[in-house]
Amino acid sequence: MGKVQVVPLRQRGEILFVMVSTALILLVAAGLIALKKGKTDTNRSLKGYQISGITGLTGNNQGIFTDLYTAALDIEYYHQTNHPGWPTPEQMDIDKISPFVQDQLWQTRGRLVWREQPTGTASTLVHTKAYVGKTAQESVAGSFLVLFEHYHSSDGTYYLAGGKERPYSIWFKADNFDLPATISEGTLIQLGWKEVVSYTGKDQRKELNR
Amino acid sequence: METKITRGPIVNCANLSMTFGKSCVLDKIDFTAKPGELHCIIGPNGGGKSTFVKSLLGQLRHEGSISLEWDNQPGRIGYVPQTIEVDKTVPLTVENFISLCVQNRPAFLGISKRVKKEIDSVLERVNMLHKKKLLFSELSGGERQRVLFAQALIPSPDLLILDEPMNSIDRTGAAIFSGIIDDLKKEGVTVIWVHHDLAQVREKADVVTCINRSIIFQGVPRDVMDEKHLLEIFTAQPVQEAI
Ligand SMILES: Nc1ncnc2c1ncn2[C@@H]1O[C@H](COP(=O)(O)OP(=O)(O)OP(=O)(O)O)[C@@H](O)[C@H]1O
Ligand SMILES: [Mg+2]
Repeated sequence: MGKVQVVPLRQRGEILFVMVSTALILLVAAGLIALKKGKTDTNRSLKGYQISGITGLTGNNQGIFTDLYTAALDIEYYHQTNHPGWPTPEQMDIDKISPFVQDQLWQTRGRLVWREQPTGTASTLVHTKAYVGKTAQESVAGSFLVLFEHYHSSDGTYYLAGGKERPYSIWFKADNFDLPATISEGTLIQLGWKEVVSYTGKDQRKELNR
Repeated sequence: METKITRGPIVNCANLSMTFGKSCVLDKIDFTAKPGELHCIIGPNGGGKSTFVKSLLGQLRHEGSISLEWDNQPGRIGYVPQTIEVDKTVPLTVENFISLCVQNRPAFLGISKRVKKEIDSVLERVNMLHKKKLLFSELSGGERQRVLFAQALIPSPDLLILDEPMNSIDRTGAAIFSGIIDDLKKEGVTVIWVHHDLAQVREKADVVTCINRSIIFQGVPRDVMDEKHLLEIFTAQPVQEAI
């Protein structure tokens, strides 16, 4: 004979189970983070002409950089889909793309005046394009330049310039605004421009797997 | 000669009470159901029938004692709930619905061959095999009830508890249910059936319990289900609905 008593529902067991599982998950996560920590601290070393977009810029500059970084993706996309066209700064102002849009935020962030800057490197192979934003108030923000470099093969395939991870680079100059006649990595460095680099999740993974 | 097989348990409740907050829904219910017997539960709407069967399943915080006395090992319990809410937007077929009830693995991993066969056979038994690819939400109330019933037959139960809704059962469905229950009874299964068709209860039940918070009457239908008794309970309702 098996006599089974039907016990009233008590959720204590369930609550306990959920709490124990939660605790376990937290413990495991904390453990894994602790294990990984040593590695994540190794920062990719910056070259002399580079500054970090995360730790190397302050206040307004950091905001402008972040906006520009995002806008560059849009510009790049525009170029690829409207090849060989590029959007003008005026167009981007109308389209409310920051940092080109001259809105209230723009008023408080140094009022950078954006223009298309001839790169002076007319090559049929490598396409370059630059936009420069010159600050109106050096005390509030610096000047920025975004440089696009890539080429299209005859069949339309799109290539990054050699050794580049991204089709564009972003440059910063805090004061003494000055531009070289031909815009390139080398000439910008010579005039004291700093390349602002930011680490994406992808960069971080690469770093970790090294 | 017929020998009585017992497969199901003796279900025993003593002093079973149940309160939701401050309102007492069941008050000191004593109840016994035996293997090979059909025990029907009747009562007015809101009388506590569903609450009672849910207590039997250990789904509520009841007071008092409920025991299942099995002959050997504890067996399997099939339960047909009164209603089930399935969102209309959930693309769940009849077949998948049953597999969810009877299979441990997630439905999107598919249904195992063995279970598929079982599902087909129970759907056949409730005459729903031709609708197994329909969405659960496309079924009528009566058809849904048949699917819920089919689900309770996998695996073959030793104790079957049905909570039947008042209005969604159709005539065909009722006949099918009652045929299957006859079979189960013969196999010694204990059957507890919340039922609304009093004529059928009078004809089929071995024992009937009428619950309206407490037990109004209990016994063999022929003895306890007389006109006077029934009128007492169901006067609050239109006559049509009650009988
Ligand atoms: N979870 C709950 N919380 C509070 N009250 C509840 C709850 N479930 C049921 N009740 C109340 O308990 C009483 C009995 O409900 P129950 O569903 O058991 O009745 P029933 O006899 O099954 O009715 P029906 O014939 O309509 O199915 C009702 O008054 C109902 O409002
Ligand atoms: Mg009910």
